Amino acid sequence: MTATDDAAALTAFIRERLVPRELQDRFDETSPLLEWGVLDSISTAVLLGFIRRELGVIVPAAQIEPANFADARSVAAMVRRLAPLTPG
Amino acid sequence: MRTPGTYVRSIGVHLPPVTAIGTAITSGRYPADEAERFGLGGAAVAGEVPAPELALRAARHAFERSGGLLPADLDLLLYADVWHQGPAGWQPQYYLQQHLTGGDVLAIELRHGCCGLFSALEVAASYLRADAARHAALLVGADNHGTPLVDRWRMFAGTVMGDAGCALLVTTDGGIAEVLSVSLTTLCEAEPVNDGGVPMFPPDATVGRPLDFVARNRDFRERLMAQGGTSLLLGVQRTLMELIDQTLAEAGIALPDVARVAFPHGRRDDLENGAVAWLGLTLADTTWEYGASIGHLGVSDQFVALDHLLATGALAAGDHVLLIGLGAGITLAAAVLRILDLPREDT
Repeated sequence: MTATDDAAALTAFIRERLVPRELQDRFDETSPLLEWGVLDSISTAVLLGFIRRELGVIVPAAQIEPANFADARSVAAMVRRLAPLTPG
Repeated sequence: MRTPGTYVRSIGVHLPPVTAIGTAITSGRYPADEAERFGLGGAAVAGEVPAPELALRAARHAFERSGGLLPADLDLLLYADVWHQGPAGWQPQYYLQQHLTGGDVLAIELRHGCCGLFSALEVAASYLRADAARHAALLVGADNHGTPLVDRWRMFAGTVMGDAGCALLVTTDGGIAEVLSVSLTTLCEAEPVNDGGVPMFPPDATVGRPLDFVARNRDFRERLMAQGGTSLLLGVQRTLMELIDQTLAEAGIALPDVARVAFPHGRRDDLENGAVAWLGLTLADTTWEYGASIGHLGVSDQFVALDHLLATGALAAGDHVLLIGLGAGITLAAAVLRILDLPREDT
């Protein structure tokens, strides 16, 4: 997968699995995940699970910062940064 | 916290009969579609047996399996619980003293939510190490959720509440498992998570106010949203990951060295797609299936599940188990144990 593919996959996953139905039409990669309440403790865990299973990237605890989860674009950027560091 | 020289001599469990989820569906207490979606089997239901009696039966079971340890050998008794135990102005640990241990042991009720047995383990490990003359502690956890003010079938989304008594005999000189590390921490910014926005005074039970965690957690979330969003809840995930990393490191192992992971008995999809996925596990690596057959036991989930793993031959000597706790506070807990031997008998 390319970085662009990863970003698209992340945005699609968040929209379809984590964003409340009434907000899905408005959701894009710049929608604020925390202000909208999309990410809580459970949905963050689910997102990290998706990143590991589908994108093959392990996100360490130190990366669980609001700046990295501000929107789908920042999550994708974090995944891009971490990808070379994840054991193959 | 590293816990050198701390062992679980034996585990005792008193699990009352399970009421099948089908029975709850037939009687209109649980929706059929949710039971299928969440894979629930039922809840252990103690009926009119008080929680301290569940604890007493579990404690006797632990002594029966201990290879000769006696109540008189105890240096500490910690009684962990979540829900109301009996009359106001009375405490449940004294019931165990009256009927099992006698009065010459320091006995304390430990109310630390669903992580109570983890905290009891940490306290006991420290207490036993503080004086070379101390050798044994009895840790019990018990709850009976079949009371007014709560509905065991609808307290949480995706899981049901069960009842159980669980007892750990913790010693300094060997047993079925070595306790390698125990850690707890609290994300106290999330302290209101279960308060529902209701007044602290007078307390709920004194005015007959019911408890519904679904409604209370929804209320907490609405308050967070009104304050700008859910950033605070990211901290729960980060803290849990840090705690697991720390606890494994203190045990001197890594996650691939762990044979089984016991989580609180909770909702299948959250666990499977969340913690299990980011840890790189599958549900089969956990105790979820057993938990779904008996319900969330309040304070005892991980330790009753550990007993089940031992009793069913799912663990062998040398295996490591990782126990993970989550409770009010929001408190997070983890422990690593290494199995040394199987229980001496299964009575």
